[in-house]
Amino acid sequence: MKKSTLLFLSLCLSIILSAQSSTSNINRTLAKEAALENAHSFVNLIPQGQEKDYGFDSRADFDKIKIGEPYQTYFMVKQANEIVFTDVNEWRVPLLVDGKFVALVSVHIKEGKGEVVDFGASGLASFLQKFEAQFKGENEHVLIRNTALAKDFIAPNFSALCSQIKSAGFTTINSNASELLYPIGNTNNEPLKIKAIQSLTLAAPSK
Amino acid sequence: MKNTLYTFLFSLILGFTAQAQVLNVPTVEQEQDLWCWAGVSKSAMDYYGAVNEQCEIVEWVRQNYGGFGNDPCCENPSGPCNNTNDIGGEGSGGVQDILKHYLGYNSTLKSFSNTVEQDIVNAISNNRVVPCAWQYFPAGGHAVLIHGYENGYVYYMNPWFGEGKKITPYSSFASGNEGQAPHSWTFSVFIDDNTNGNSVTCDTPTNLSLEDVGSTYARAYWDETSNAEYYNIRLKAQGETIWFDAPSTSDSNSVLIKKLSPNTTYEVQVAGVCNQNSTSNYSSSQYITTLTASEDYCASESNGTFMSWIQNVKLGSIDHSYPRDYEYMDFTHISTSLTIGSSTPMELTYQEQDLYGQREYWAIYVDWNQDKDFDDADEIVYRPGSSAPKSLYLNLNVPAHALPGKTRMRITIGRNNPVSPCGTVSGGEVEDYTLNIIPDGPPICDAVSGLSASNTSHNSFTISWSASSNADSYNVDYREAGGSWNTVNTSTTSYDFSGLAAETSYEVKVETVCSFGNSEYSSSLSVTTNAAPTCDVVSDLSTSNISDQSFTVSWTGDVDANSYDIDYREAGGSWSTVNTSNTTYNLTGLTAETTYEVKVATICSFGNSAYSNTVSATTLAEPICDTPTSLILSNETTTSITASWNASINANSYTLQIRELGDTWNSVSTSNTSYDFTGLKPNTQYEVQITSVCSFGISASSAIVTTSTLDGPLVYCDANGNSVAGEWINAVAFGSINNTSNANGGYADFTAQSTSISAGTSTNITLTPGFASSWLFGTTTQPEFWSVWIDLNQDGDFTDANEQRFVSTTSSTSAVTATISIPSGTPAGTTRMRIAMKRSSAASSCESFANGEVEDYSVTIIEDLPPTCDVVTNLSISSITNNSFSATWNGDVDATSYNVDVRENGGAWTTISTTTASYNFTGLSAETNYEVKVSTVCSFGNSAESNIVSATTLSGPVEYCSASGNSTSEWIEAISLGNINNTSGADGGYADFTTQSASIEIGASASLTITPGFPYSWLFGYTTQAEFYSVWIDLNQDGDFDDANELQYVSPSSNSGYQAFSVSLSIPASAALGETRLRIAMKRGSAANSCEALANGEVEDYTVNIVSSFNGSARRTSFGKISELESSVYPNPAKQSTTLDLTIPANSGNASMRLMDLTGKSVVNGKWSSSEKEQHIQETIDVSSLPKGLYLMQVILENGASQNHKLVIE
Repeated sequence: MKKSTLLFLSLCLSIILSAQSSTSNINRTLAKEAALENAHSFVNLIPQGQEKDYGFDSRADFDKIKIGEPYQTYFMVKQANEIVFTDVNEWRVPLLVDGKFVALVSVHIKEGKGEVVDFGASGLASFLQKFEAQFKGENEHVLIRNTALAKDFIAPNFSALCSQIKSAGFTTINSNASELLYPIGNTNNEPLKIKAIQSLTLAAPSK
Repeated sequence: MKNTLYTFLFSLILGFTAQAQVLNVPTVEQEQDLWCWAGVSKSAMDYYGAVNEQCEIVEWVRQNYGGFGNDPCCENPSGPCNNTNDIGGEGSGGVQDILKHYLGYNSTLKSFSNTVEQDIVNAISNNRVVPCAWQYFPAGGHAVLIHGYENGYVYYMNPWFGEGKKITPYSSFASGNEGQAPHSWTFSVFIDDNTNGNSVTCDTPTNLSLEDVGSTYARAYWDETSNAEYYNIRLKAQGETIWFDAPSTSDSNSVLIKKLSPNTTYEVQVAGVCNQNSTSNYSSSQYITTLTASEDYCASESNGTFMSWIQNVKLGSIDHSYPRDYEYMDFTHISTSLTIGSSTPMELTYQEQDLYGQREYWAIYVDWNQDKDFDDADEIVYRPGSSAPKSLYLNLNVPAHALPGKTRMRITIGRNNPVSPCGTVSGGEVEDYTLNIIPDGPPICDAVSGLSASNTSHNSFTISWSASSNADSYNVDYREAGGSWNTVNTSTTSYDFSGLAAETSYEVKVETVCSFGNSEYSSSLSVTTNAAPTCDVVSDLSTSNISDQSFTVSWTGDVDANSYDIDYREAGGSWSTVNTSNTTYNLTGLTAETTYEVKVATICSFGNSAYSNTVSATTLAEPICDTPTSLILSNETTTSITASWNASINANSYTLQIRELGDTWNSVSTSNTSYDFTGLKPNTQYEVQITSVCSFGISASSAIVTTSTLDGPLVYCDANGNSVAGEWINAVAFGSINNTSNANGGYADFTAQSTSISAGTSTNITLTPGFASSWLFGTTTQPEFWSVWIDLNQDGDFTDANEQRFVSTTSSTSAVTATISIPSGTPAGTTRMRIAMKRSSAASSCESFANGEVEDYSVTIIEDLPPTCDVVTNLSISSITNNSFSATWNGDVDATSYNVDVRENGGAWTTISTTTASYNFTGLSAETNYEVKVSTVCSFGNSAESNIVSATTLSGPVEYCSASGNSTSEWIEAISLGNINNTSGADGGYADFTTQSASIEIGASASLTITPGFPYSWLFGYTTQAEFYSVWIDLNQDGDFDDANELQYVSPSSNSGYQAFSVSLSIPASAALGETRLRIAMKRGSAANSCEALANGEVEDYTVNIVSSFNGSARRTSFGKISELESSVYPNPAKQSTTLDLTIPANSGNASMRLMDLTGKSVVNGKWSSSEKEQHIQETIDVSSLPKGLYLMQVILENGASQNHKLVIE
């Protein structure tokens, strides 16, 4: 009886995730469109002479901008002594110049419309391209931000980490998932399993 | 500062005032997870010129404020030093303190508010960066640094890895996501505009270089700045984090860095120090690698004793003086040229610390054969056996065997003995110089050899050659074949050509440049550049994996590609572009049954290719998830049936649902086309239906099919102990089962013994073990674990939820008593109970174990009955007074409240609700018989009414508790309230002044003035005490002062004054109209209670007449004069309405009427004004909406006259 109940729940989860995936594709497109429409208004705010701080060699690069595949941002947060994913419908869209990731545009999707809320992060953009060049497997383009550890992770197989839809915006984590997450940073770059990250997060001091 | 100045000048030139600007702070990444605050501090400090490492900042906080462990933070940064810190809070080591310490800046911490945006604008325009704190949701925090603002956009530096410089709308910065977790902006640090801070104008030295590198020393050079008083040089071995300071130097642009480790790479920086508090930024780093010991001359050091030092050296072009340093000094950057065979005058002078003189020994060594030692022939140039004069004159002869080129001369001065070239100098000094030995005769400048080319590309190549002796540099001539020569000069033995034309032949030749002339050119070398790379169009563009929403695009790429642009569109539509570094891309989010066109361009570092050919793909139609067909049920047994069906094309799996007829569904999943349901009940009808589960959805459910399991008994699994030699189940007592079974060989079936248990109840079970006896030790007990199962759902097993009703958590050797509960809702019927006793661990329900026993019994489950809402019992009345009594009763456990009905005997019932099993009736009429009955109110209905009980209230006025005091040292001298103005003096502790009455309107306040009384002394005046005053009014006229608001006043603290004071009395709207008791107490030391016998103080009682305060309209019917209140009510009993006939005497004040139910609650009010003439009022009162019952009508005049009427409404 218990087994059959679990199987039924799994079925429901797959249906929910399928629906979620469809929504996700729509939002991905919205994020791209918003980034394409607004990128130039942001890069034109870069002060003269400070282009390199934002990833550009010169202002001539502004006319070469193209849009890359957006990364959806999830956050790992502590909810009642449990580490879960939360999604605020935010996307980070790479800006490319001559095939090189130079910066990220952050897009927040709200009520079916994308709004650019931030621009910059040239270092993170460069790291994402480095990752894509080295990692040739399937990539769901999901970025996980963990504020307790002050660390970002790339989750190429994010779907496998999700256990069950808990409530709007919160997703419980499949702690037994064997898929690896890739820390972003110049040190301590060894990929980790989600269970290890959950343990570290629970043990992290509150800031 | 420069930025500010430039912006200001720029603004003047263009004739407008800039609203904002962006300060160019450096990007700093936090080096540890929790060091965002250190990263922000470093960025701000670097901007203002106080350059420090993050670990140094944290270390300063650790040393001065604690909280970061015991290890130095630059040695163990990831340990306890990796900790959080605040941006504010002066004196706690936060960012404010850091700015104060390192920059001398005062600052102000501000919470986020609507004015912060303008503060940001002001700060930036004053060249002030702004550290800020974010609070993350649901927890955590982060620090960032605002460094610019323009037209609603904030420029900030985020130390989080990879974030760096950011631009965001102000609203998003204040609250939102912007690449961070959801956050709010909490605090900001604003550097005070008028803070002086440290001077930050000290210029940074430039052109740092490192030369004369030995195994333990090197010399640093830089360009002097205009304002440095001296310079700080710091260095660290590569890979280390801690900087070390080299000796500062004050008067030159170079310093000799000593005590280095051989064969080690060092990073070196220099900063100018302009005054004590102003240091420039450190310069950019330069790197050196020291020689190995074998590559260098031996070391020779002074022991540092202050005796003598080399004052001056003169030889050829060398004329060098240097103050005492008592150490080895490398002056090899100072040289002179000497010709082989020549003899050159030399003069050496020393100085000494003491006055003894001529105890110093000179020694001069020259490495003539340039083999890095001074051990060879003629290399001890001068080392006499006696001491020398302060100035030594000699000729330095260059031997014929000396090798041409640069070599070393070492000069030493030592006390008492000449100094060897290697080792420690006692009381003297060592200095090295360079001699450039020139051959005797014309020098030879050798031509280069081994000219070759490498690293040839389409636009570059490298040539290299072997070094020539005597070479100062080399001229490299090159040309396109047949063209004219170009020349470049280099001091190295290779040269990188770049920017060349592709597929072009170049000729190169090299000549050696010596100080005395150039060599012959080498033979010419021809090098042809490669063909230029091309950014090729991709080929083999194709599509695959076509579904309804996606397909994959693949192609053969170009080796020079950085990435590829994929353009796609619905046929004829506009193109969209995505980029990938792979040669395949999965286009997703597409529309079903739509044709898409795709083309790809190659992106190279040197340009892009043309687009490929366009290929098309049409997405598939949305697939359908079909319902399985031909679902049939077969192979029925007593406990199982088989379901089978036809497969659906797109199904990945199937979900089967089964239920007993009319019950709730249970689901199972399978990927097969049949399924065996097991564990079913015998002789039971089951319904089954099925759905397909596809990757893209689920199908509709099939029609329900039905079958029944075969009839037959349930078969339970076996369980037993294999040995009862040591222990067994000796007895079981449960309900009506009381079975002493003794040992039964490991299993006994006692299902013939049964007990009945109701669902939703609990029953104790006692399990007694039996143990074998031993002649040696008596009864040999073992640790036993008990388990009890009941097959609650009667399906033939003990594996369902809650069927294990008891299990031992610890072993026991004696009888065990446990409570067995049968869950509410358990189906009725007879089922099996299994009891197992197993040695050392708990058994499972179907286990055959080594030691112990199993017994089976029967339990008959009785369906649990629905709860009942029972009638209350033992209703009784007590505590009867002239206006109150209490009713109590025994309630029902399911009661949520009780309805209490009360009436005057024969009148209409009034219902009161209470949640407790008692009720205190107040405000009743004296000498009146009342009836009471109660019904129980439950969540699922009400009970019937109880029996009726009755009681008659007592006769006479309301009795109050006594209270008194002793009034020899203090008393209530006088009070005034309305009409009362009573100077009573000392009354022996208590006085009853209830004949004195004052009226107070309901809902109004009145001022009570109390005058204390104390004994008077001619010497000291009044002898007062610390007094507390209390005032009560019996608002609900129930004979006590215990009810809400009845304590009208109590002194908040002791009052030792002897003068009159006033307190305010407030009559709440809930107060009962009419006369009632006012009590005033004065007590020494603490506040009195209302019924207290006071040791020191006095109590006085008065009457307060609570009168109505409302206004109403009246119909004036006649005028006349009457001296007393006259009123009547008719008809009585009334049904729809009744009439109040009221005569108000002239000048008697306002008249009021209040109609109350038996709880004292006002249901109708009225008020009329009096006049100079008598008034006659007839007021019709609508009572049609009032519940039937007994009511009390009070008619009151403001002068205190009143009449009551009992009114029955039918």
